[in-house]
Amino acid sequence: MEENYITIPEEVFLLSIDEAGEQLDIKEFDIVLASSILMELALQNCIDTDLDYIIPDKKKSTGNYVLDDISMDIHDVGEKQTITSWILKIYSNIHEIKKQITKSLVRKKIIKIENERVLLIFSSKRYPIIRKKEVIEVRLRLRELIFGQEIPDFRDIVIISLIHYASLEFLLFTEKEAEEYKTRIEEIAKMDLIGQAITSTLKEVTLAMRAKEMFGFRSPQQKLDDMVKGYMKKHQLKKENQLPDWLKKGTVQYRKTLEFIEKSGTAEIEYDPESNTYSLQHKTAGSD
Amino acid sequence: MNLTEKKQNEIVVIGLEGRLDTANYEEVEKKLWEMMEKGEKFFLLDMEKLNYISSSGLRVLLKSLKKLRSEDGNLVLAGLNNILQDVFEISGFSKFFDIYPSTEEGIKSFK
Repeated sequence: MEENYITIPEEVFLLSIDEAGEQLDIKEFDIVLASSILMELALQNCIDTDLDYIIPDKKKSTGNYVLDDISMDIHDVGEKQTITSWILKIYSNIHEIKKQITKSLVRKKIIKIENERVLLIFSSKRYPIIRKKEVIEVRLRLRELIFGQEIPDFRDIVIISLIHYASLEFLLFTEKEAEEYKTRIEEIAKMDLIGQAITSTLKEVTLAMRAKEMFGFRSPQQKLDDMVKGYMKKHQLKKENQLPDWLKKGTVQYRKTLEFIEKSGTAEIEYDPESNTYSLQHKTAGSD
Repeated sequence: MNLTEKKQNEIVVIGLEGRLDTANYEEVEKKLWEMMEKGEKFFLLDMEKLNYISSSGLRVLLKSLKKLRSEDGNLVLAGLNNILQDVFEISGFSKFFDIYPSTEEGIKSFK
């Protein structure tokens, strides 16, 4: 793989960042990102697919850490498994995968990290020119594809599929265009069999999340959000910018607080700014 | 995969038997592209004896179709069984390919 080649997961990640460097709040984005990894592996002939299954293909290095790691897992299993099950497996490790994707994009000088905000180095367009060989922007190319009758290339099929099944048409089309070309978009989107699995996978994940909520399970982010609310109430703070850094969104320290909650499994924690350490709250007998 | 080849008028008829998947899609791709490089433009794939196709197989077919159509050629498919027809329908590939019930009808379509 060429050093500056941008993988599909990296393109998807870039799609999720607006021009100010903020990550768009795209529902189920992580599932889409997980799916895009499988799509790239299929394009690289590391895996094959049919209507239901992922089948290991060539065992080879792609030169990309994220892709090679997952490819190795698929080949280690050896036999075919459902597309949905692989999307979910990748999704379960998506936090680490996003870190690796960010590092890769920084290395390729496509983005930089500034105060926990990702800034596009080439940020004049929402869909930057990524591949040196392309004469026109990816965005224009995809629009031309949809507005015309050309037989699509596979990379374009994959991107259209991801955009469609994640309801991201707004990134490429106006509402009117999306409606007018709905049939063409759907026709091309369904040509990627992994893309077709996104919908059913999203349903599974949503059901699992609802079940977790019903049984009182909360994600680390939810625990931190509740802790912040409790802190603001206790200290009678009216605005979030009055919070200390370790509880203030957008800071490096806030990220570290979230990581500690993920690792410890609880938000009953304390932070000592002098030693820059986190610890679990100690409760004495008779305390609340 | 058993691959047969014959020519009928100007049309290259390639018979596929077994599975078109990760194990042999390269063989089929090589055959098609070698013949295209020799100047052949009209192909019919006889899929009567084909019982499985994966996405790598579909990719080879689509890539070949795109190349041929850009040069005023064509690639048609014939003899798909019900399972393969479902695959082409569900994947949407049936929108791009001319598919015929038999080789004879497929050959006639070139006239």
